[in-house]
Amino acid sequence: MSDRLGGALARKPLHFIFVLDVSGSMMRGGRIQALNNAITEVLPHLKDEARANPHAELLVRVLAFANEPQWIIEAPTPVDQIHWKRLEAVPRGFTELGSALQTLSGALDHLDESNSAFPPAIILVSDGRPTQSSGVTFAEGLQALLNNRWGATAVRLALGVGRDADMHSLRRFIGDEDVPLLRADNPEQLVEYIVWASKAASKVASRPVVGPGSGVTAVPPSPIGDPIWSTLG
Amino acid sequence: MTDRPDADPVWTTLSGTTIGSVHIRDELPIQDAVLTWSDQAQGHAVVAVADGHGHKFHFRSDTGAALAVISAVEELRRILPDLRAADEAARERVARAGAAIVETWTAKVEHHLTANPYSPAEDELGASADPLRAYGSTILAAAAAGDVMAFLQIGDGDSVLVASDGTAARPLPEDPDLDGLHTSSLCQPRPLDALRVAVVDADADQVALVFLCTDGFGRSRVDADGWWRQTGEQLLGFARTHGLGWVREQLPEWLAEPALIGGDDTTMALLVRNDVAGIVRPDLADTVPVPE
Repeated sequence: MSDRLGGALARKPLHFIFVLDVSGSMMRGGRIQALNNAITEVLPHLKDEARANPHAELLVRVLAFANEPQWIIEAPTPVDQIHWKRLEAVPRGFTELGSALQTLSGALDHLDESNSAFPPAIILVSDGRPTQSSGVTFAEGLQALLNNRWGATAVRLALGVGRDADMHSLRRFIGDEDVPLLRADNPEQLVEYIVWASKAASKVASRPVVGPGSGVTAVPPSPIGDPIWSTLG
Repeated sequence: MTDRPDADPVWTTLSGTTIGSVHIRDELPIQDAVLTWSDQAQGHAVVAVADGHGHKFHFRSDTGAALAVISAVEELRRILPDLRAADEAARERVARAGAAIVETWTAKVEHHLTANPYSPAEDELGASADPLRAYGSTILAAAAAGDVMAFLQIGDGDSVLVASDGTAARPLPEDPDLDGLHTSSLCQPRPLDALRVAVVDADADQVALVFLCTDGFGRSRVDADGWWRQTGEQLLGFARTHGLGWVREQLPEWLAEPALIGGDDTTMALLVRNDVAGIVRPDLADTVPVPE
Protein backbone atom coordinates (compact mmCIF):
# COMPACT_ATOMS: atom_id res chain seq x y z
CA MET A 1 0.00 0.00 0.00
CA SER A 2 1.37 3.45 -0.94
CA ASP A 3 1.91 5.79 2.00
CA ARG A 4 0.22 8.63 0.06
CA LEU A 5 -3.30 9.00 1.38
CA GLY A 6 -6.11 9.40 -1.15
CA GLY A 7 -4.22 8.60 -4.32
CA ALA A 8 -2.50 10.73 -6.93
CA LEU A 9 -3.03 14.47 -7.20
CA ALA A 10 -3.03 16.63 -10.29
CA ARG A 11 -3.07 20.36 -10.75
CA LYS A 12 -6.43 21.54 -11.99
CA PRO A 13 -6.54 23.24 -15.36
CA LEU A 14 -7.04 27.00 -15.44
CA HIS A 15 -8.14 27.83 -18.98
CA PHE A 16 -7.22 31.25 -20.31
CA ILE A 17 -9.07 32.14 -23.48
CA PHE A 18 -8.32 35.30 -25.46
CA VAL A 19 -11.07 36.38 -27.87
CA LEU A 20 -9.51 38.90 -30.23
CA ASP A 21 -11.11 41.23 -32.77
CA VAL A 22 -9.26 41.20 -36.12
CA SER A 23 -11.94 43.08 -38.07
CA GLY A 24 -11.04 45.63 -40.75
CA SER A 25 -11.11 48.54 -38.33
CA MET A 26 -8.21 46.98 -36.41
CA MET A 27 -6.00 48.00 -39.37
CA ARG A 28 -6.42 51.65 -38.38
CA GLY A 29 -3.91 53.48 -36.24
CA GLY A 30 -1.61 50.50 -35.75
CA ARG A 31 -4.18 48.67 -33.62
CA ILE A 32 -3.48 45.18 -34.90
CA GLN A 33 0.26 45.73 -34.41
CA ALA A 34 -0.44 46.96 -30.90
CA LEU A 35 -2.62 43.90 -30.22
CA ASN A 36 0.14 41.57 -31.42
CA ASN A 37 2.66 43.42 -29.29
CA ALA A 38 0.33 43.19 -26.32
CA ILE A 39 -0.06 39.42 -26.66
CA THR A 40 3.69 39.03 -27.12
CA GLU A 41 4.28 41.09 -24.00
CA VAL A 42 1.64 39.36 -21.92
CA LEU A 43 3.13 35.88 -22.43
CA PRO A 44 6.05 36.37 -20.00
CA HIS A 45 3.58 37.74 -17.47
CA LEU A 46 1.40 34.68 -17.93
CA LYS A 47 4.46 32.52 -17.35
CA ASP A 48 5.01 34.40 -14.09
CA GLU A 49 1.36 33.82 -13.19
CA ALA A 50 1.76 30.13 -13.95
CA ARG A 51 4.73 30.00 -11.58
CA ALA A 52 2.77 31.93 -8.94
CA ASN A 53 -0.09 29.44 -9.18
CA PRO A 54 1.50 26.06 -8.38
CA HIS A 55 -1.99 24.66 -7.84
CA ALA A 56 -3.19 25.44 -11.37
CA GLU A 57 -2.13 24.29 -14.82
CA LEU A 58 -2.47 27.46 -16.86
CA LEU A 59 -3.59 26.62 -20.40
CA VAL A 60 -4.05 29.22 -23.15
CA ARG A 61 -6.33 29.32 -26.17
CA VAL A 62 -6.84 32.13 -28.68
CA LEU A 63 -9.94 32.74 -30.79
CA ALA A 64 -9.80 35.51 -33.41
CA PHE A 65 -12.88 36.84 -35.14
CA ALA A 66 -13.77 39.09 -38.08
CA ASN A 67 -16.22 37.74 -40.69
CA GLU A 68 -16.09 34.45 -38.85
CA PRO A 69 -14.40 33.02 -35.78
CA GLN A 70 -11.09 31.25 -36.23
CA TRP A 71 -9.10 29.39 -33.61
CA ILE A 72 -5.52 30.65 -33.62
CA ILE A 73 -4.62 28.34 -30.74
CA GLU A 74 -7.38 25.75 -30.49
CA ALA A 75 -5.89 23.15 -28.18
CA PRO A 76 -5.42 24.27 -24.58
CA THR A 77 -1.68 24.94 -24.55
CA PRO A 78 0.70 25.47 -21.61
CA VAL A 79 1.85 29.07 -21.73
CA ASP A 80 5.53 28.15 -21.99
CA GLN A 81 4.82 26.23 -25.21
CA ILE A 82 3.21 29.15 -27.04
CA HIS A 83 5.06 30.70 -29.95
CA TRP A 84 3.02 33.69 -31.00
CA LYS A 85 2.52 34.19 -34.73
CA ARG A 86 1.39 37.70 -35.51
CA LEU A 87 -2.28 38.09 -36.36
CA GLU A 88 -3.37 39.96 -39.47
CA ALA A 89 -6.52 42.04 -39.54
CA VAL A 90 -9.06 41.07 -42.22
CA PRO A 91 -9.48 43.91 -44.72
CA ARG A 92 -13.11 45.11 -44.62
CA GLY A 93 -13.75 42.30 -42.15
CA PHE A 94 -16.87 42.51 -40.00
CA THR A 95 -17.08 42.20 -36.23
CA GLU A 96 -18.91 38.88 -35.83
CA LEU A 97 -18.67 38.76 -32.07
CA GLY A 98 -21.95 36.84 -31.67
CA SER A 99 -20.66 34.05 -33.87
CA ALA A 100 -17.36 34.05 -31.98
CA LEU A 101 -19.12 33.70 -28.61
CA GLN A 102 -21.23 30.87 -30.00
CA THR A 103 -18.07 29.08 -31.16
CA LEU A 104 -16.53 29.71 -27.76
CA SER A 105 -19.51 28.25 -25.91
CA GLY A 106 -19.30 25.15 -28.10
CA ALA A 107 -15.64 24.73 -27.13
CA LEU A 108 -16.49 25.12 -23.45
CA ASP A 109 -18.92 22.19 -23.71
CA HIS A 110 -15.89 19.91 -23.81
CA LEU A 111 -13.81 21.78 -21.25
CA ASP A 112 -14.08 19.49 -18.25
CA GLU A 113 -16.81 17.03 -17.53
CA SER A 114 -15.92 16.76 -13.86
CA ASN A 115 -16.36 19.37 -11.16
CA SER A 116 -12.64 19.71 -10.67
CA ALA A 117 -11.57 22.48 -13.05
CA PHE A 118 -11.31 26.13 -12.14
CA PRO A 119 -13.71 28.51 -13.84
CA PRO A 120 -12.05 29.65 -17.08
CA ALA A 121 -10.86 33.20 -17.68
CA ILE A 122 -12.06 34.83 -20.90
CA ILE A 123 -10.50 38.08 -22.08
CA LEU A 124 -12.27 39.84 -24.96
CA VAL A 125 -10.61 42.62 -26.97
CA SER A 126 -12.69 44.51 -29.55
CA ASP A 127 -12.65 47.88 -31.27
CA GLY A 128 -16.10 48.04 -32.84
CA ARG A 129 -19.80 47.41 -32.70
CA PRO A 130 -20.80 43.75 -33.18
CA THR A 131 -22.18 42.93 -36.62
CA GLN A 132 -24.47 40.04 -37.54
CA SER A 133 -23.76 39.18 -41.15
CA SER A 134 -23.38 35.54 -40.15
CA GLY A 135 -26.94 35.53 -38.82
CA VAL A 136 -25.87 35.25 -35.19
CA THR A 137 -26.48 38.38 -33.16
CA PHE A 138 -24.29 39.44 -30.28
CA ALA A 139 -27.18 38.80 -27.89
CA GLU A 140 -27.62 35.25 -29.20
CA GLY A 141 -23.92 34.53 -28.94
CA LEU A 142 -23.73 35.91 -25.43
CA GLN A 143 -26.79 33.91 -24.38
CA ALA A 144 -25.21 30.75 -25.77
CA LEU A 145 -22.14 31.46 -23.68
CA LEU A 146 -24.16 32.17 -20.54
CA ASN A 147 -26.23 29.03 -21.07
CA ASN A 148 -23.01 27.06 -20.79
CA ARG A 149 -21.99 26.12 -17.25
CA TRP A 150 -18.39 27.16 -17.76
CA GLY A 151 -19.29 30.25 -19.75
CA ALA A 152 -21.62 31.45 -17.02
CA THR A 153 -19.08 30.92 -14.27
CA ALA A 154 -16.07 32.19 -16.22
CA VAL A 155 -14.17 35.24 -15.13
CA ARG A 156 -15.07 37.50 -18.05
CA LEU A 157 -13.00 40.60 -18.76
CA ALA A 158 -13.21 42.91 -21.77
CA LEU A 159 -11.11 45.67 -23.25
CA GLY A 160 -12.34 48.24 -25.73
CA VAL A 161 -9.94 49.65 -28.29
CA GLY A 162 -10.46 53.23 -29.45
CA ARG A 163 -13.55 55.37 -29.49
CA ASP A 164 -15.65 53.08 -31.71
CA ALA A 165 -15.54 50.20 -29.27
CA ASP A 166 -19.07 49.23 -28.24
CA MET A 167 -18.64 49.60 -24.50
CA HIS A 168 -22.28 48.71 -23.87
CA SER A 169 -21.86 45.28 -25.48
CA LEU A 170 -18.56 44.75 -23.69
CA ARG A 171 -20.24 45.58 -20.38
CA ARG A 172 -22.96 43.03 -21.13
CA PHE A 173 -20.26 40.48 -21.88
CA ILE A 174 -18.61 41.11 -18.49
CA GLY A 175 -21.93 40.97 -16.67
CA ASP A 176 -20.56 41.92 -13.26
CA GLU A 177 -20.94 45.68 -12.69
CA ASP A 178 -18.10 45.62 -10.17
CA VAL A 179 -15.56 44.53 -12.79
CA PRO A 180 -13.75 47.42 -14.48
CA LEU A 181 -14.33 47.86 -18.21
CA LEU A 182 -11.30 49.47 -19.75
CA ARG A 183 -10.82 51.26 -23.07
CA ALA A 184 -7.35 51.53 -24.54
CA ASP A 185 -6.65 54.68 -26.50
CA ASN A 186 -3.06 53.97 -27.47
CA PRO A 187 -0.71 50.98 -27.87
CA GLU A 188 0.89 51.41 -24.44
CA GLN A 189 -2.51 51.30 -22.76
CA LEU A 190 -3.52 48.19 -24.69
CA VAL A 191 -0.40 46.35 -23.53
CA GLU A 192 -0.84 47.49 -19.95
CA TYR A 193 -4.54 46.65 -19.85
CA ILE A 194 -4.12 43.16 -21.31
CA VAL A 195 -1.36 42.45 -18.80
CA TRP A 196 -3.59 43.74 -15.99
CA ALA A 197 -6.59 41.71 -17.18
CA SER A 198 -4.50 38.55 -17.43
CA LYS A 199 -3.14 38.93 -13.91
CA ALA A 200 -6.52 39.85 -12.44
CA ALA A 201 -8.21 36.93 -14.18
CA SER A 202 -5.66 34.39 -13.01
CA LYS A 203 -5.97 35.57 -9.40
CA VAL A 204 -9.75 35.29 -9.45
CA ALA A 205 -10.21 32.20 -11.55
CA SER A 206 -8.10 30.13 -9.20
CA ARG A 207 -10.30 30.88 -6.19
CA PRO A 208 -13.56 29.16 -5.38
CA VAL A 209 -16.65 31.24 -6.04
CA VAL A 210 -19.43 31.56 -3.52
CA GLY A 211 -22.47 33.59 -4.38
CA PRO A 212 -22.71 36.25 -7.06
CA GLY A 213 -19.91 38.38 -8.43
CA SER A 214 -16.67 37.55 -10.14
CA GLY A 215 -14.41 38.54 -7.30
CA VAL A 216 -12.17 40.76 -9.44
CA THR A 217 -10.54 43.07 -6.93
CA ALA A 218 -7.39 44.18 -8.73
CA VAL A 219 -7.32 47.91 -9.30
CA PRO A 220 -6.89 48.67 -13.01
CA PRO A 221 -3.96 50.77 -14.16
CA SER A 222 -4.47 54.48 -14.78
CA PRO A 223 -4.45 55.62 -18.42
CA ILE A 224 -1.03 56.50 -19.79
CA GLY A 225 0.06 58.32 -22.93
CA ASP A 226 -2.02 60.30 -25.40
CA PRO A 227 -5.46 59.05 -26.52
CA ILE A 228 -4.39 58.68 -30.15
CA TRP A 229 -7.00 56.06 -31.12
CA SER A 230 -9.83 58.26 -29.90
CA THR A 231 -8.61 61.29 -31.74
CA LEU A 232 -7.70 59.45 -34.94
CA GLY A 233 -10.91 57.37 -34.94
CA MET B 1 -14.26 -8.18 11.44
CA THR B 2 -14.61 -6.60 14.82
CA ASP B 3 -13.76 -8.10 18.12
CA ARG B 4 -16.33 -6.48 20.39
CA PRO B 5 -16.42 -6.50 24.15
CA ASP B 6 -19.82 -6.10 25.80
CA ALA B 7 -19.02 -2.54 26.80
CA ASP B 8 -19.86 0.37 24.51
CA PRO B 9 -17.05 1.25 22.11
CA VAL B 10 -14.74 4.13 22.85
CA TRP B 11 -13.96 6.57 20.06
CA THR B 12 -10.60 8.20 19.43
CA THR B 13 -10.39 11.51 17.59
CA LEU B 14 -7.60 12.69 15.31
CA SER B 15 -7.42 15.87 13.28
CA GLY B 16 -5.22 18.12 11.21
CA THR B 17 -5.45 21.25 9.10
CA THR B 18 -3.09 22.93 6.61
CA ILE B 19 -3.25 26.28 4.88
CA GLY B 20 -3.60 26.22 1.09
CA SER B 21 -0.92 27.53 -1.24
CA VAL B 22 -3.30 30.09 -2.74
CA HIS B 23 -3.90 31.59 0.70
CA ILE B 24 -0.16 31.70 1.33
CA ARG B 25 0.32 33.40 -2.04
CA ASP B 26 -2.42 35.94 -1.35
CA GLU B 27 -1.31 36.49 2.25
CA LEU B 28 -4.67 35.33 3.58
CA PRO B 29 -5.21 33.44 6.82
CA ILE B 30 -6.25 29.81 6.90
CA GLN B 31 -10.03 29.72 6.56
CA ASP B 32 -10.64 26.11 7.54
CA ALA B 33 -11.29 25.14 11.14
CA VAL B 34 -11.46 21.88 13.05
CA LEU B 35 -12.51 20.95 16.59
CA THR B 36 -12.73 17.57 18.28
CA TRP B 37 -13.97 16.44 21.68
CA SER B 38 -14.22 13.07 23.35
CA ASP B 39 -15.23 11.56 26.67
CA GLN B 40 -13.57 8.20 27.02
CA ALA B 41 -15.59 7.22 30.06
CA GLN B 42 -18.93 7.74 28.30
CA GLY B 43 -17.84 6.48 24.89
CA HIS B 44 -18.82 9.84 23.42
CA ALA B 45 -16.98 11.86 20.79
CA VAL B 46 -17.64 14.73 18.38
CA VAL B 47 -15.59 15.99 15.44
CA ALA B 48 -16.34 19.04 13.31
CA VAL B 49 -14.64 20.69 10.34
CA ALA B 50 -15.58 23.89 8.55
CA ASP B 51 -14.44 25.63 5.40
CA GLY B 52 -14.69 29.42 5.28
CA HIS B 53 -15.45 30.61 1.79
CA GLY B 54 -12.49 32.90 1.14
CA HIS B 55 -14.20 34.95 -1.56
CA LYS B 56 -13.91 38.73 -1.15
CA PHE B 57 -17.50 38.95 0.09
CA HIS B 58 -16.69 36.48 2.89
CA PHE B 59 -13.75 38.40 4.34
CA ARG B 60 -14.32 37.11 7.89
CA SER B 61 -14.84 33.51 6.92
CA ASP B 62 -11.86 32.38 9.00
CA THR B 63 -13.79 33.58 12.05
CA GLY B 64 -17.01 32.12 10.64
CA ALA B 65 -15.40 28.70 10.27
CA ALA B 66 -13.98 28.78 13.80
CA LEU B 67 -17.39 29.72 15.21
CA ALA B 68 -19.01 26.99 13.12
CA VAL B 69 -16.94 24.15 14.60
CA ILE B 70 -17.38 25.49 18.14
CA SER B 71 -21.15 25.71 17.60
CA ALA B 72 -21.30 22.20 16.17
CA VAL B 73 -19.35 20.59 19.01
CA GLU B 74 -21.38 22.47 21.61
CA GLU B 75 -24.74 21.45 20.18
CA LEU B 76 -23.85 17.86 19.35
CA ARG B 77 -22.43 17.30 22.82
CA ARG B 78 -25.81 18.30 24.21
CA ILE B 79 -27.71 15.61 22.33
CA LEU B 80 -25.33 12.67 22.84
CA PRO B 81 -27.25 11.31 25.87
CA ASP B 82 -30.42 11.30 23.72
CA LEU B 83 -28.90 9.10 21.00
CA ARG B 84 -29.92 5.65 22.22
CA ALA B 85 -30.73 3.99 18.90
CA ALA B 86 -30.16 4.79 15.22
CA ASP B 87 -33.82 5.37 14.54
CA GLU B 88 -36.10 8.10 13.20
CA ALA B 89 -36.33 9.75 16.62
CA ALA B 90 -32.55 10.06 16.67
CA ARG B 91 -32.52 11.45 13.13
CA GLU B 92 -35.06 14.09 14.13
CA ARG B 93 -32.98 14.91 17.19
CA VAL B 94 -29.92 15.41 14.98
CA ALA B 95 -31.93 17.61 12.61
CA ARG B 96 -32.97 19.74 15.61
CA ALA B 97 -29.31 19.91 16.61
CA GLY B 98 -28.55 21.14 13.09
CA ALA B 99 -31.07 23.93 13.55
CA ALA B 100 -29.50 24.72 16.93
CA ILE B 101 -26.05 24.87 15.33
CA VAL B 102 -27.28 27.42 12.80
CA GLU B 103 -28.90 29.43 15.61
CA THR B 104 -25.82 29.26 17.82
CA TRP B 105 -23.49 30.14 14.96
CA THR B 106 -25.66 33.11 14.02
CA ALA B 107 -25.68 34.34 17.62
CA LYS B 108 -21.89 33.97 17.89
CA VAL B 109 -21.39 35.83 14.61
CA GLU B 110 -23.66 38.64 15.78
CA HIS B 111 -21.75 38.82 19.05
CA HIS B 112 -18.46 39.00 17.18
CA LEU B 113 -19.86 41.63 14.84
CA THR B 114 -21.06 43.77 17.76
CA ALA B 115 -17.53 43.71 19.15
CA ASN B 116 -15.96 44.21 15.71
CA PRO B 117 -18.26 46.41 13.58
CA TYR B 118 -17.73 46.57 9.84
CA SER B 119 -15.48 49.38 8.65
CA PRO B 120 -16.70 51.86 6.02
CA ALA B 121 -14.56 50.04 3.44
CA GLU B 122 -16.16 46.71 4.37
CA ASP B 123 -19.58 48.32 4.21
CA GLU B 124 -18.84 49.36 0.63
CA LEU B 125 -18.89 45.63 -0.15
CA GLY B 126 -22.44 45.52 1.23
CA ALA B 127 -21.38 43.84 4.48
CA SER B 128 -24.02 45.47 6.69
CA ALA B 129 -26.82 44.79 4.21
CA ASP B 130 -26.17 41.05 4.68
CA PRO B 131 -24.30 40.90 7.98
CA LEU B 132 -23.78 37.12 8.06
CA ARG B 133 -22.28 36.96 4.57
CA ALA B 134 -18.76 38.03 5.59
CA TYR B 135 -18.56 35.04 7.94
CA GLY B 136 -19.75 32.45 5.38
CA SER B 137 -18.66 28.89 6.03
CA THR B 138 -19.59 25.29 5.56
CA ILE B 139 -19.97 22.87 8.48
CA LEU B 140 -19.47 19.10 8.67
CA ALA B 141 -19.79 17.22 11.93
CA ALA B 142 -20.01 13.67 13.21
CA ALA B 143 -20.82 12.46 16.71
CA ALA B 144 -20.66 9.06 18.35
CA ALA B 145 -22.56 7.91 21.40
CA GLY B 146 -21.49 4.32 21.79
CA ASP B 147 -22.86 2.52 18.76
CA VAL B 148 -25.06 5.37 17.57
CA MET B 149 -23.46 7.79 15.14
CA ALA B 150 -24.82 11.09 13.94
CA PHE B 151 -23.76 13.05 10.86
CA LEU B 152 -24.72 16.51 9.71
CA GLN B 153 -23.45 18.81 7.00
CA ILE B 154 -24.18 22.12 5.28
CA GLY B 155 -22.10 22.79 2.17
CA ASP B 156 -19.32 20.96 0.40
CA GLY B 157 -16.71 18.61 1.79
CA ASP B 158 -16.91 14.89 2.48
CA SER B 159 -18.30 12.79 5.33
CA VAL B 160 -17.25 9.16 4.97
CA LEU B 161 -17.61 6.09 7.15
CA VAL B 162 -15.43 3.01 6.76
CA ALA B 163 -16.53 -0.48 7.71
CA SER B 164 -14.19 -2.97 9.33
CA ASP B 165 -13.66 -4.67 5.95
CA GLY B 166 -12.35 -1.39 4.50
CA THR B 167 -15.48 -0.57 2.52
CA ALA B 168 -16.23 3.17 2.51
CA ALA B 169 -19.66 4.78 2.25
CA ARG B 170 -21.13 8.24 2.35
CA PRO B 171 -23.84 8.32 5.00
CA LEU B 172 -25.39 11.64 3.99
CA PRO B 173 -27.64 12.36 1.01
CA GLU B 174 -26.22 14.46 -1.84
CA ASP B 175 -26.73 18.22 -1.90
CA PRO B 176 -28.12 18.99 -5.38
CA ASP B 177 -26.90 22.58 -5.16
CA LEU B 178 -23.23 21.59 -5.07
CA ASP B 179 -21.76 21.98 -8.57
CA GLY B 180 -18.07 22.21 -7.77
CA LEU B 181 -18.09 25.98 -8.19
CA HIS B 182 -20.59 27.05 -5.56
CA THR B 183 -21.35 25.76 -2.11
CA SER B 184 -24.27 25.85 0.29
CA SER B 185 -23.43 27.86 3.37
CA LEU B 186 -24.32 28.74 6.93
CA CYS B 187 -24.65 32.34 5.77
CA GLN B 188 -27.22 31.77 3.04
CA PRO B 189 -30.90 32.57 3.47
CA ARG B 190 -32.61 29.51 5.02
CA PRO B 191 -29.42 27.48 5.61
CA LEU B 192 -31.54 24.64 7.00
CA ASP B 193 -32.74 24.01 3.44
CA ALA B 194 -29.22 22.71 2.81
CA LEU B 195 -28.90 20.76 6.06
CA ARG B 196 -28.22 17.07 5.55
CA VAL B 197 -28.42 14.65 8.47
CA ALA B 198 -28.06 10.93 9.02
CA VAL B 199 -27.85 8.47 11.90
CA VAL B 200 -26.01 5.18 11.65
CA ASP B 201 -25.88 2.05 13.79
CA ALA B 202 -22.13 1.60 14.07
CA ASP B 203 -22.52 -1.97 15.30
CA ALA B 204 -24.85 -3.12 12.54
CA ASP B 205 -22.82 -1.34 9.86
CA GLN B 206 -19.52 -2.54 11.35
CA VAL B 207 -18.15 1.02 11.37
CA ALA B 208 -14.44 1.07 12.11
CA LEU B 209 -13.75 4.73 11.49
CA VAL B 210 -15.19 7.93 10.13
CA PHE B 211 -13.41 10.78 8.41
CA LEU B 212 -14.60 14.26 7.56
CA CYS B 213 -12.64 16.50 5.25
CA THR B 214 -12.99 19.88 3.59
CA ASP B 215 -13.08 19.95 -0.18
CA GLY B 216 -9.40 20.87 -0.34
CA PHE B 217 -8.49 17.26 0.32
CA GLY B 218 -10.38 15.68 -2.56
CA ARG B 219 -10.76 18.29 -5.29
CA SER B 220 -7.39 17.73 -6.93
CA ARG B 221 -7.45 13.95 -6.95
CA VAL B 222 -6.84 12.25 -10.27
CA ASP B 223 -9.48 9.68 -9.34
CA ALA B 224 -12.24 12.25 -8.81
CA ASP B 225 -14.88 9.61 -8.12
CA GLY B 226 -12.99 7.04 -6.09
CA TRP B 227 -10.45 8.93 -3.96
CA TRP B 228 -12.68 8.86 -0.87
CA ARG B 229 -13.08 5.08 -1.04
CA GLN B 230 -9.33 4.70 -1.36
CA THR B 231 -8.77 7.13 1.51
CA GLY B 232 -11.09 5.18 3.79
CA GLU B 233 -9.53 1.85 2.97
CA GLN B 234 -6.04 3.27 3.44
CA LEU B 235 -6.81 4.94 6.76
CA LEU B 236 -8.10 1.68 8.18
CA GLY B 237 -5.15 -0.25 6.74
CA PHE B 238 -2.63 2.24 8.11
CA ALA B 239 -4.28 2.21 11.54
CA ARG B 240 -3.99 -1.56 11.60
CA THR B 241 -0.50 -1.90 10.21
CA HIS B 242 1.21 1.13 11.74
CA GLY B 243 -1.01 2.17 14.66
CA LEU B 244 -2.89 5.36 15.30
CA GLY B 245 0.21 7.10 16.59
CA TRP B 246 1.75 6.77 13.14
CA VAL B 247 -1.46 7.93 11.48
CA ARG B 248 -1.45 11.02 13.66
CA GLU B 249 2.19 11.72 12.75
CA GLN B 250 1.41 11.33 9.05
CA LEU B 251 -1.67 13.57 8.97
CA PRO B 252 0.20 16.88 8.47
CA GLU B 253 2.09 15.43 5.49
CA TRP B 254 -1.08 13.91 4.01
CA LEU B 255 -2.80 17.28 4.21
CA ALA B 256 0.17 19.34 3.01
CA GLU B 257 0.33 17.82 -0.46
CA PRO B 258 -3.28 18.56 -1.53
CA ALA B 259 -3.01 22.00 0.11
CA LEU B 260 0.01 22.73 -2.08
CA ILE B 261 -1.18 21.18 -5.32
CA GLY B 262 -4.87 22.03 -4.95
CA GLY B 263 -4.22 25.44 -3.43
CA ASP B 264 -7.08 25.32 -0.93
CA ASP B 265 -6.95 24.89 2.85
CA THR B 266 -7.16 21.20 3.67
CA THR B 267 -8.59 19.75 6.85
CA MET B 268 -9.46 16.28 8.10
CA ALA B 269 -10.91 14.89 11.30
CA LEU B 270 -11.28 11.22 12.21
CA LEU B 271 -13.29 9.14 14.64
CA VAL B 272 -11.76 5.71 15.17
CA ARG B 273 -13.38 3.04 17.31
CA ASN B 274 -11.27 1.28 19.88
CA ASP B 275 -12.48 -2.26 19.46
CA VAL B 276 -11.89 -2.85 15.77
CA ALA B 277 -9.59 -5.80 15.47
CA GLY B 278 -6.02 -4.96 14.72
CA ILE B 279 -6.02 -1.25 15.54
CA VAL B 280 -3.27 -0.26 17.91
CA ARG B 281 -4.81 2.38 20.08
CA PRO B 282 -2.63 4.46 22.36
CA ASP B 283 -4.43 7.17 24.27
CA LEU B 284 -4.78 9.82 21.57
CA ALA B 285 -8.02 11.49 22.52
CA ASP B 286 -7.92 15.16 21.54
CA THR B 287 -10.00 16.82 24.20
CA VAL B 288 -10.88 20.46 23.95
CA PRO B 289 -12.79 22.05 26.80
CA VAL B 290 -15.99 23.58 25.52
CA PRO B 291 -18.04 25.98 27.65
CA GLU B 292 -21.11 24.28 29.07
